[in-house]
Amino acid sequence: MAKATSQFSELIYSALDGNLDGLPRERDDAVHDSLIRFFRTLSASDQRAFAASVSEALSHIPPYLENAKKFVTLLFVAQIAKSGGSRAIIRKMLSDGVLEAFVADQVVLKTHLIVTAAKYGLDQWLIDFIFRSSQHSRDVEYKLNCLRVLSWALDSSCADFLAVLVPAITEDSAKMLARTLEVCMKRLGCRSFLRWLHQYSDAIAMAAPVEIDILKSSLLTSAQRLLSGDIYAKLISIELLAEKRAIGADEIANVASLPPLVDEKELEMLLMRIRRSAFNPWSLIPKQDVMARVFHHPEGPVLVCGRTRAPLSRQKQAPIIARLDRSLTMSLNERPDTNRRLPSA
Amino acid sequence: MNDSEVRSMLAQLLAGSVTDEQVDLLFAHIDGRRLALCLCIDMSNNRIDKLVVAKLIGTIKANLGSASRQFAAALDSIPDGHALRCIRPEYGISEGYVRVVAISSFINFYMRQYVYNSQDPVDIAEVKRIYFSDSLDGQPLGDIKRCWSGKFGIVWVFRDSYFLGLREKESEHLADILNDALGLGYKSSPHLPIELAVVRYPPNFPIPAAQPTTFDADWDTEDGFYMSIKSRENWGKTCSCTGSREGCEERVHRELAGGLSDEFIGVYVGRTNGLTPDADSVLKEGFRRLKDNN
Repeated sequence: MAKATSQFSELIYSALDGNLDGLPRERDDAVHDSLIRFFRTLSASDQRAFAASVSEALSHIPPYLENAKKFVTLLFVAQIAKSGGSRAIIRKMLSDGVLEAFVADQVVLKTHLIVTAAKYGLDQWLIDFIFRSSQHSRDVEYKLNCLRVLSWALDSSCADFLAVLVPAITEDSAKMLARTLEVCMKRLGCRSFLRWLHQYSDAIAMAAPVEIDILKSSLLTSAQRLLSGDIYAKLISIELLAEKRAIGADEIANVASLPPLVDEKELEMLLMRIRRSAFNPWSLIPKQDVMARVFHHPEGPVLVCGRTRAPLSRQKQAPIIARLDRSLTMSLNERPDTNRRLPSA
Repeated sequence: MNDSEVRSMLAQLLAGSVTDEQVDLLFAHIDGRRLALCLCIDMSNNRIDKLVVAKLIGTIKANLGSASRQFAAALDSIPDGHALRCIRPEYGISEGYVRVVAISSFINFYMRQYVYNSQDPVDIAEVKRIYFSDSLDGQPLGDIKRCWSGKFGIVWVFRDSYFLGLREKESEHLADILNDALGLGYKSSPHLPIELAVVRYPPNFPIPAAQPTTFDADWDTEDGFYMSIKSRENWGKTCSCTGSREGCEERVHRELAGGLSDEFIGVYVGRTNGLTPDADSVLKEGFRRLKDNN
């Protein structure tokens, strides 16, 4: 084993100096590509020895600016060729702020360290570190990396991080934000993001209205790409479209009939928010009774997302219909599915 | 045609500017033989400057390893060497161009600030998901703001219609076919796979592009598959790695310094299963092209 480790060390140091002889190469490969390709051809015991050599290199190469490029390579390799030694060294570097100020080949070492540390697993220390280190940062790229990394924890910390992310959001970062959110929502499911919207977005919007709008647009873009696989993506989409007054009554009726697929309290909250944000005429309907209901108008069927305790009298229907938002009115030629099972009173 | 005829032709074209020994060094390795063929084809078509070639070959030494890699290093060290690449470009074609990229290379070039690992299957799957779609509509790539380039500040492209035609006929093995027909030569194996995607350019995109020459090819990486061809309406032609497929028309254009716009779209191609290259078939094709040249 010891012999193998020293052989691998020699090979790694040599590759870091640009000599890739003896390593498998594909066109356009970076140094870490070749090293990892080589690692993947090894037996399990040799892989352990190789990973130990990576750890040794991480601890022995002085953390100076002139070695920043070597650390970029080594950290990429350490993400695949893992060892307990590398995990400890990387965390130490992170907590000591070593490499923090360096950038090499457009890779920010501070970000690289966070991502690499997280690839060894997220625990409370690392999650706290990520929140702490981001709290006062305006670096949106760093924060987007943190957002993605936190999704690996498979809990609510990723959604919770949105509050930390928001102040750094800019128009330029909107596309990458949407891409990152899609990755996170795909991994975690969309429920925690809907819950976050309900619990925190209004308060944050007071302080950062522009940023929260960009975040919502990105959430909407991402949710719409996940519609087929996640019912909560549909709910996020409906809520954010409603804010833009861009949904029809049929869609709301669909949502209103979703229980028991989704939590009823969450659904009620969603419907309440939709009503509040998009459809003023709903103010005529008692807040506690916001659910779906079909009723008929002499000129044709009209679907209203709201349930009243008792059928509305014709006299009361008339002003509601007159003032209904266009998006709440289905085509007069199209009969709604009155057989759809709507939530009972 | 054979090596000795190529050797004589090269010596004649360079007319005493280099020594016989230096020319001989090229023929010690298959990449050098391929390089000699390309040089002959391009010089006899006046596409590259004989004086520059003589200067580059003049740097090759017996004890410094592969002649083609020495040639690459010498080419790389020429001041303003980029002026030798993508020469005589012309404005485009009405259809769009297409660039093939390995997702791992895309990560290394364009995802630096987001620290994706080009060898981590999870990261590759994420990048594939967010930048490349299975449908031809693709994903808009307007947020690629880093200079759109390849090695040496040039980008290799081919016709969108070629890609579309191939995709329709050969959708199942598209990645393998492109890997072979375009001379990409990824040797990937099931446990070391390479995933390919394309970036489709907008039609009528105003970018001048040129027929590639020897100076555009990468002579630093061994086992390449580039082969020059006589002038043909400013299009080059790729060389199949296995010799079993027809090459396709190719061009090079200079880098796009400001990155891409949303009119450029990413489409996923598939996973290559590797190939068994036949370097001799590339040489045979080279001999054919040189013969056609004369």
